[in-house]
Amino acid sequence: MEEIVVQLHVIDWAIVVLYVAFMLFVGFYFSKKKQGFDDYFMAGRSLTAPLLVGTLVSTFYGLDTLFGTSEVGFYEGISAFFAYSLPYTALYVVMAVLAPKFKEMFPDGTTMQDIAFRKYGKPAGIFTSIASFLYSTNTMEMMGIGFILNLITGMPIWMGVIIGAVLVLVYTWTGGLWAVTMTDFIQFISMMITVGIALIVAWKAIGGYDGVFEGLVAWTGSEEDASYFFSAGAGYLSPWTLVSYGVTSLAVLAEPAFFQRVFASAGPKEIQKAFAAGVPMWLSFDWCVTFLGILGAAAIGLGIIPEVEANQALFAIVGQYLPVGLVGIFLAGVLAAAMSTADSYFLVAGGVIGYDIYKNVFKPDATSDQIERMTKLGMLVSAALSIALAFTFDRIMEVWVFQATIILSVALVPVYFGAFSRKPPKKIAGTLATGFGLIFSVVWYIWSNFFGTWSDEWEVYLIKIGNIELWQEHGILIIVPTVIVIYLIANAVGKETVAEVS
Amino acid sequence: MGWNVTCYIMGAISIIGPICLIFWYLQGAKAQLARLNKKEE
Repeated sequence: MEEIVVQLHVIDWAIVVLYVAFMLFVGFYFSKKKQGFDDYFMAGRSLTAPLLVGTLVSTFYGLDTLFGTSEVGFYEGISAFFAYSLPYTALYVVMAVLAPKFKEMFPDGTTMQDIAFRKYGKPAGIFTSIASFLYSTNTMEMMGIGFILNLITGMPIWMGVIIGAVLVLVYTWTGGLWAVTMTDFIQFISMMITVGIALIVAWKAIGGYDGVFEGLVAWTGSEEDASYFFSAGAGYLSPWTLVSYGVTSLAVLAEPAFFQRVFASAGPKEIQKAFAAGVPMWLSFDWCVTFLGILGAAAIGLGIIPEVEANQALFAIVGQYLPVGLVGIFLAGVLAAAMSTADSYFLVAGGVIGYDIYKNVFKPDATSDQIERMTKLGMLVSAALSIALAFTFDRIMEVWVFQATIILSVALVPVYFGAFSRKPPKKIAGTLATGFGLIFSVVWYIWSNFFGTWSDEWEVYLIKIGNIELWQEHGILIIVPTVIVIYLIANAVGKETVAEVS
Repeated sequence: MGWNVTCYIMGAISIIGPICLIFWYLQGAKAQLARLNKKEE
């Protein structure tokens, strides 16, 4: 056992244990209610706006947002919000317009991959399914849960990873999308409210802006450096870092979990209402997390909390300022952020195996029970892969770059061109675009990892082509336009279209 | 002053938003229950 970073009171422990027990209860409760695959995987296509807000926000806001944004806030100040979070919010607004259209165009759609199968046939559908499965592995969340359990119990991270995976898998396995949505709803409420309370209480206690600025001056050593923390013009961030952040945010447009929720909704109007209500909450969450990171840096400067790592500062601030009970709720909220993301992606990955591959490719006449069984098997495979990758990757950001690259390279272009083009798209265009997207992104990733050089300054892999030095993140900027060109040429010269089966 | 106010507002949205959502959900559930009861009658 390692040293415990955050000491919990017995009341806080009770809250965390009760919370986990409640999540498991919800899973078992909905396992008794469900009737067939459509109910299991799509919640009977009856999700209303409030449930959609909860599940959309909590699914996309996991530990990467909580730790990632607060970490950038800790080092770079409010540019974490303006440079890192706002591009995502802009794309949520775009999705608010596009998502209802997808529901109108594919009222009986189940997954994003469905669009590829219907518009381009099996090869494109399979390539998109592989990309979605890889994207939906829960490596980041598994690493995050391991990290949290290590902080509060001192248990080794590997043990925390396995415990986290088993817990999430149990209630997702038993209850399906209803359990995921209802737990997401509760998890959304706890994570939002606790960061809101933490910010207000800590901001007031430290003396508001004046106290924070004083702490930052002490921490950075000069007023000029401290003022960068409140510079909306990106602070210390370079334009290339901004491009890198902005590019990965495009993954919102080809997000398999978003598509599943959109298709599981009660209708396009519910989706519109959900995004309209969700965007202010996304913004407020980002703001709170950014400023909790800034508060962490200021509190270290003032000597209120010890000198801890950026990702531990958030916990140190909470432990310092929140009373007993609220610390437990906050930790439950942090676990909630991880679990709500992990459960969704386990289910989505299971759906890729059970619905997209097993039903669409191998057994179109499969019964509802057979598809559900294969979906559960897919969840097990995804969990095993997530745990294995959690021990393989050193840095959380590496996983995210790989996943964002693969989903954008494979799915973005064919799905959007296929859904919104007026003429039926050509089969060869979808097949080549998804196939080359998959090959290019895997090759790019392997190449940059094995032949690139690691930059400690930028914390990215650098690849040299002649005199040009590229980041691993720039792969998206090269591959996606290449895929567009391939798609457009193939669509112009191709002849065969796929008769849409609805 | 501006940063203080914005932080309190954003913190408040983060707290009040989910509470409003609970009421929104319960309102919908109540309406659905009423519809189901009416159907059964």
